[in-house]
Amino acid sequence: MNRLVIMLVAALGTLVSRGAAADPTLPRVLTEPTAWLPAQGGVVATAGIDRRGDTSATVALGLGIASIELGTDTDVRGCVTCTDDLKGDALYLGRAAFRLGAPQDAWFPGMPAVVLGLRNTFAARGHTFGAARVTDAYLVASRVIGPVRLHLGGAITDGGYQQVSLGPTLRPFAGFEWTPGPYPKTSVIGDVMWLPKLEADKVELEWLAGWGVRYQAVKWGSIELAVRHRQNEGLQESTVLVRVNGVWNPRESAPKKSALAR
Amino acid sequence: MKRINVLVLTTVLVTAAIARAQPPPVQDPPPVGGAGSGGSGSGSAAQIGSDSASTDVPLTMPPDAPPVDPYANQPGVERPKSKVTPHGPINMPEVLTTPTGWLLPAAVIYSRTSIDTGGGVTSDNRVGLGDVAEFGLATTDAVRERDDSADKSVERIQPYVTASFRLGVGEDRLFEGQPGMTLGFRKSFERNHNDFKTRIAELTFVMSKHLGSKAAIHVGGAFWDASLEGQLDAGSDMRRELTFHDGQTRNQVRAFGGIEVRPLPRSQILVDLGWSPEFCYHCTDDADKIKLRPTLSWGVRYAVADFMNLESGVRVPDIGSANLLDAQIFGQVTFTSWALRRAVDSLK
Repeated sequence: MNRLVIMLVAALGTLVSRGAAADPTLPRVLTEPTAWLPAQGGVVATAGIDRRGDTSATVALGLGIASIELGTDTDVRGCVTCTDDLKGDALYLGRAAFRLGAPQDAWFPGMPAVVLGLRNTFAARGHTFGAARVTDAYLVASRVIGPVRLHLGGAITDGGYQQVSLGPTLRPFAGFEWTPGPYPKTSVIGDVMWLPKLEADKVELEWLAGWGVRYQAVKWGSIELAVRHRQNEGLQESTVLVRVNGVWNPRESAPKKSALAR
Repeated sequence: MKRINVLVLTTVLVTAAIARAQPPPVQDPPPVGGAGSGGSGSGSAAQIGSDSASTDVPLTMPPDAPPVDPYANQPGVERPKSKVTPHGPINMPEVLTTPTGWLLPAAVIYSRTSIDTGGGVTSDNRVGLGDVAEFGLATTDAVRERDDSADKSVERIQPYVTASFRLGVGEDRLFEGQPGMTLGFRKSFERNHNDFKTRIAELTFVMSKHLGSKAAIHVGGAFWDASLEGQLDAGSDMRRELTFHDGQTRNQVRAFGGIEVRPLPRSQILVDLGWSPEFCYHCTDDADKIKLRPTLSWGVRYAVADFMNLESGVRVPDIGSANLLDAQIFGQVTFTSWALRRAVDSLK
């Protein structure tokens, strides 16, 4: 029995140490945030569209120990007659985020990457919920364990419009990315997170779960195909989305000195 | 006998006058033997009372030395040029929203421009005065307004133009271990918004101290004042003016502070807690019409170059009410310039 435990610990340690070689960089699985930060001076861009034609785009800039993001998405929904309209209206919200964190093994061996982030709204248009605002303050931990990348965190979410608001509410979130050994360029991804849903006289939180596949087409870019389900929407209103990611790291892009010397 | 005395006195005076009219020889006598530079103008070697043989200087020229014209024009002396290229990063006069105990170096120009997700745009421009003071003009979006106590949509009054003057002493200037200390005064111009006239003023004293090479702490206190003029009573057209100092003095005093940590050579983590005024035009009680609200900020300063910093972070204007919806994510760029300092130094 003791020998089995030792073997399990050793195997886990090997997996952890292998996984800690380098942090990935994408700041989001599908909806939930990860604890990966872009490289210093690096840029990570994401753009997507779902079957309803709702689009999203985000650009993140790495500041060494932090990153700043700007973008727009339609993750938050609103409905006026919510009993008839299951899917609701997509609310285009301008979103900005500031994320401060530390990479894996920064403070002690085996430490997961951690990020303290805040994401809020700077513009809202194209819907009946004037001055809609949504803010998430979250703490997330991410760790590479062999072929799997696990993400676990908690978010304090507030949302509202005009004089109606939810109030700060705590919810957990989680996600994973699994890259099977035979397919090193392909990852199966999945996550769950809670988001505000704006209604005529109140704001409620609803869960949003997603699963899909990410294919690392080129070294600097990947494409994702995923499905997302919302609470109370039913299976028929699930959305299929496609998304592309691009990563630019100035250190990797800079020409080497030996090449310049030649 | 008397005539002889007059003659002697006249001779002495005329001789003295002639002697004083002659310029003293400035060229050093040529070195002789082992005297070395003992006769240089520096006087470092030939000291009165010195008994060292090597520092003895002959009082007369040796007979074989070439004659020297003591009245000849002397070539211009090449003075060592003063170092006129001060540069490099400086200790910043603000953490994120609160002042520090560090002043700008003399004639250094500082400029900061900021935008945030609440639509705020601010600018802060300062110049250092003689290493002991600084003057600045700025716009701030920290002053807020609401209609009454039930109003959840607190708006910012912007731009709110302020002028500031700070004086103090640098870190370790008076004694080792002494924190940097500044006494600052900031006052706004009168702002007319929604037919309400407001003004603010802030007197601060703050101390800053480096803790090793990678951390610093700032602690200070502020004494606030403000005024509000307009139709302050619901249902009445009468205009009146209300000032913050009409109320209790303890409401005007607040402590503030911040910390800086540098985990990477070019990146700093900044956290500070400050205060900003909020005007409530139609709150029932006069004591609620002007209030100070705590503002918590955290962020990162990334040194792009010696003269340029990018800062980004989060500002929660009223952390006391835990209102996440009012949180703002900001980005700002700071430039510092030694150009004026170099220009001033080159004139010396």
